[in-house]
Amino acid sequence: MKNVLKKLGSMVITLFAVSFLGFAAFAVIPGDPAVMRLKTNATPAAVEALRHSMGLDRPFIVRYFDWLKDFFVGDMGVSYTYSRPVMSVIGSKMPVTLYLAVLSFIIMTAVSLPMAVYCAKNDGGRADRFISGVNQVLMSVPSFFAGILISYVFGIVLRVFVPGGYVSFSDDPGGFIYYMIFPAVAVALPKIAVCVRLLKSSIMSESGKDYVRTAYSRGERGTTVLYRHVFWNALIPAVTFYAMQFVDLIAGSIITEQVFNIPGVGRILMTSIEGRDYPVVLAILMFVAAAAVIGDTVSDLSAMALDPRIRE
Amino acid sequence: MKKLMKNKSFRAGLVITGVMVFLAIAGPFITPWDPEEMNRGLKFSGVSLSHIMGCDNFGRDIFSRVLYGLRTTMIVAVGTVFIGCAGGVIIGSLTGYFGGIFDTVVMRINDVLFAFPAVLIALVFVSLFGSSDVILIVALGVAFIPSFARMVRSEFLRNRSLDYVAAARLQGAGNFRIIFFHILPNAWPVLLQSVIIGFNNAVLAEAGMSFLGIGVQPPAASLGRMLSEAQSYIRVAPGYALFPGLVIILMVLGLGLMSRASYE
Repeated sequence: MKNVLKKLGSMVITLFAVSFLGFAAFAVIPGDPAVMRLKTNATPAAVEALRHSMGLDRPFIVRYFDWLKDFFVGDMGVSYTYSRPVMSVIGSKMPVTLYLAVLSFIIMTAVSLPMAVYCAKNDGGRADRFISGVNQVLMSVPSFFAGILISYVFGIVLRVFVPGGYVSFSDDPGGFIYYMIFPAVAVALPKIAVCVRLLKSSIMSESGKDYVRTAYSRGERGTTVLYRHVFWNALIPAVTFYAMQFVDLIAGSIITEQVFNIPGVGRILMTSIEGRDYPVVLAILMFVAAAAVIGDTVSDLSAMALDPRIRE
Repeated sequence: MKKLMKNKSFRAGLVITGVMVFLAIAGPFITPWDPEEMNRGLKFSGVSLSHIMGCDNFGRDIFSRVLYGLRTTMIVAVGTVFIGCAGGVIIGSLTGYFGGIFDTVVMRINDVLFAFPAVLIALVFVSLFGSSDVILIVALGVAFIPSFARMVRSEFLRNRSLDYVAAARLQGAGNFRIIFFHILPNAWPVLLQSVIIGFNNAVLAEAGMSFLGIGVQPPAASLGRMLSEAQSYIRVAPGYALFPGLVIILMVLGLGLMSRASYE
């Protein structure tokens, strides 16, 4: 329990540190946000008035805490490009990206767990060598190229779906879920390969331990030993690793969205970076950071749940 | 090193990587075509003897563009790994060697950065400083520092209490000398592994960034940008997307095979 609280505490501190670093990075860059927002109407008087109403004439620390306070109630400032609250610009796009990342996480886990167990069972066999060879290649495929290949094969050759034919969830929930499977597979594909390798080697090193020999010598069957003892112990390092992949899946989703024409945060992030729309960039950054830090904590906590030795 | 050469997958990786490096360096002497020369008559012309990968939407020779893109990717990857490795060695050796509050604070920040995908850190960098190839290299390099720092630090933690360090100190060696001439050479094998993986990730990161339109600007060729352009023409010219993609895969595969072997 003490360790759980410690982990949660360090998560909160890290989130603060990230938000401060992010805010500071965007505060020290040259260029006056007031001028950027006014664009061509930037007369000195108007700039001064806007600076005051935006609070830019106050000290940095005060601005930081104000920004943080507003952030918690969902007010992330105003986009320079759209002159609308950042929340209304990215609010509808966050869930799409998150859904894509979660779906690819589910696919990654659902495919890699049985595959790793299968490979470990047949270690060194023909099937194992074949899978590990294929995995080595899959590991080298960037998710966006996997996306291009998938949309070519399934979209243009096999015509199972329409590339670029994204429909929003509110228009057609079934169509949305169906369409998202293809980009999710593209994002998950390279990660499946990495996960299979890690989990397999974890199972292999676990099977060499003394307690496994003991279990065998008690007369337990191979499958019982594998599923009751080895698998769960091998899962402990794997859980941390799987959770770490989630952030990469978000990054992969952001890039792969471009291939499948999905209106997630990817496109808005790119246009905001080009247009130097800092409030939007900062907000998206904060979301990914939160996902990263929370994912990290969840992985630590689930490792604790699995392993009494680190639970205390 | 001799042991590594006996490993089949290491040799395969070395051959693939060697061919890729050769193609990148010797590119201009291999292809007779200018990668930026447009020829309307050749628009989307398929694979032929003179244009072995066909031509793109402007009638430019895809093979030449792939070679130039390969070269760009390698330059960015080398720069990225160099910055990441140098920064990581400095931070990792100092924190690992001295420890204390300095170590705690720096590694805390390091862990936070490590939690981010490198591509995203680089994107933030680009949004702050603008998009050019130099900034891309610096951005990716900085984004790669945390992973190197972590690795170097753990090597220093392991080594600093060993006898040979104590012996060096008794002989009167200063901290600087111990760090760079005693411990660092011992960290070399592990560092080499991370450098190979670093290259691997840097190639993928560069491809991803240029796919998003960051880095080398058109008309200069880059593999990621070729892929993003090829997407619009995939119905007419699937080869336009296929070849640059395959080259990225081969490059990453070669490095991946090498790093896998070095772990075994």
